[in-house]
Amino acid sequence: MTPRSRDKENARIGRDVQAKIGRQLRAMYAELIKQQLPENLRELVRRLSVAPQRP
Amino acid sequence: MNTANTAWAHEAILAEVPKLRAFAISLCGNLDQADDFVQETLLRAWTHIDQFQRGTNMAAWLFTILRNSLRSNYRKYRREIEDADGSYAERMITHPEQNGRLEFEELRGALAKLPSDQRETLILVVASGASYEEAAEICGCRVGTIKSRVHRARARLAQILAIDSVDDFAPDRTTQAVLRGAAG
Repeated sequence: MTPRSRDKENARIGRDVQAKIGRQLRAMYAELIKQQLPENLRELVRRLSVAPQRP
Repeated sequence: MNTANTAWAHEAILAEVPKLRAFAISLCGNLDQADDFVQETLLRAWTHIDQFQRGTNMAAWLFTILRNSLRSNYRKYRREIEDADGSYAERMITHPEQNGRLEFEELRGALAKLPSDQRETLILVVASGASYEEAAEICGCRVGTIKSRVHRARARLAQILAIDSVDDFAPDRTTQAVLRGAAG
């Protein structure tokens, strides 16, 4: 492998790695978004939902 | 703000709650503290709803409030990030696979090692999908600064995770195990 083709290969691997990190971060975030809200937040949301004015 | 606008703002705020919570958990690494920050953000937003201009970005406004709250309390939760024992990952009920949980833990541990400005920027742009412009608005800095932080954070994360090739990093270990099981 020539130095130039090695650089290209390294750049390709770098892009693949970064894409992989991106997928992992998005998957982690999506998992967090899917979590059920805890009771104290649900209660706050309920309060705000039924009384759309300043608490 | 009139009644119709207030009702609209109210709905718009509530729609962002899961994302605000995901952002807070990602940054402070502690479920209970994250929920406290989200609760504080919701109350603060609701109290200051008159300051929000309809037609501007509600999500960015809320994330700015949350981000400022997190940063002003950074010293309080910093220790939690650094010493986190994975308890919140244990409570992530949708992670039944052991390998998946380990990979999640690796990623979370690597995120905790990033400087806070890089961590929040990476979460905003890469994980939550905010644009560079939105992230710049939320973080109160220039777009160029956001781009630079994302670049450095990505490189550092790859370094921390010691990823030399795509095969080293993970969920594919789970996928491969499933495939091996299916093949066998």
